[in-house]
Amino acid sequence: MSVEITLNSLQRDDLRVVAGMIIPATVEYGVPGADDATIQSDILATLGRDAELMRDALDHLARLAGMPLANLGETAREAVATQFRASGGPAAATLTRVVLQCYYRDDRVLRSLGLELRPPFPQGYALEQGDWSLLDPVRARPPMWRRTS
Amino acid sequence: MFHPYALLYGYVDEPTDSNRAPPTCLWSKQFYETDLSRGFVRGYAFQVGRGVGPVVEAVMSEAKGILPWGAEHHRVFRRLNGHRLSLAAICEDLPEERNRVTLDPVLKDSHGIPAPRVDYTIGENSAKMLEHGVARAKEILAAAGATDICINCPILYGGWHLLGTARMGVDPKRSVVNEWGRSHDVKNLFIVDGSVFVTSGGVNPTSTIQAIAFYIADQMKQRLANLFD
Repeated sequence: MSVEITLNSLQRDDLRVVAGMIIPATVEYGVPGADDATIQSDILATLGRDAELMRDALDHLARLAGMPLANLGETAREAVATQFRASGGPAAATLTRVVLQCYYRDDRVLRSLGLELRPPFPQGYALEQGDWSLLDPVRARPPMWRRTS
Repeated sequence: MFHPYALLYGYVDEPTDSNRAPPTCLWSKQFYETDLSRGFVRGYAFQVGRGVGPVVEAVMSEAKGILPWGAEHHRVFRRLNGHRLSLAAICEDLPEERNRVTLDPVLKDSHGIPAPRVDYTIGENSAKMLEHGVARAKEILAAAGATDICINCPILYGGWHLLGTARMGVDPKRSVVNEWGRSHDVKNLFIVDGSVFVTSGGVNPTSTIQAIAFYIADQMKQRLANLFD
């Protein structure tokens, strides 16, 4: 995967901090936070057409914070995040979406959710059969559709 | 015509195999045919879904405000992921005079050719159908014990089935193509796609478009000797 750097270092720092606020690491489930280096690399490498809105979001975040997010105390950071979500519009929504989509495709995270590291197709899964007798009353009732001539 | 969709979903205790099989797993035509006691003509199909994969679950749930940022994120996500039950009412849209495609009076491409202008609003009949679908889906989700019910009505990204505007019919005053797909006005023009639908139907249209394509091709083949007369 080629790494295309589209954010400056201040923006990357703020992105890492806000990503960790969206999804912090947890010992309970044994997963990293979204500020994890591998996940951050994935975000930067696959920004693509989201780059412009991501930059807008980080500019907005920087204006609200007035300084690098990492330099703010926890309470002030939380206040900035709340304001960011309320006033950030499509740019803030894009940042959040990008963080979530890169986090939830990380192998470690998928394993922790009990998912196999593969798409459902073409191999497929054998699903446990449900209780097909639930459909018996449906089968027993008269058709509710029109017959074609 | 489009397909106005109402999408409702909630979360049940049982796993719904969201990431292990096709999302749409059950169809119901119970409300598909006209029943005037419902207050509208025609109807809708219900598509029942078993949920989505983790990326879509996370993105949709955060946007809906049910998946928080911060320490609670992981616990809530594990309750939602793989437990979604969804119902989509796909409504049979009717042709409305004001819904049309015309040439834009201002917008042109680099060659000066006018851009198409699409005017569309959901009509009264479809709006009542959506309302009925939302009410029934709420009942079904409640009966299944679903919580955190989310309602998207209409879904905002649903304009993907482009249908009608060149309806098929025998009367040139009320239709664009005849009963075998040829334009009433231009004898060597055939329209073979979802444009010739007279209503949108309440199901995904690809199979019907394929059937119409076979039918019109067959009609053309049978009329080759005087196709443009």
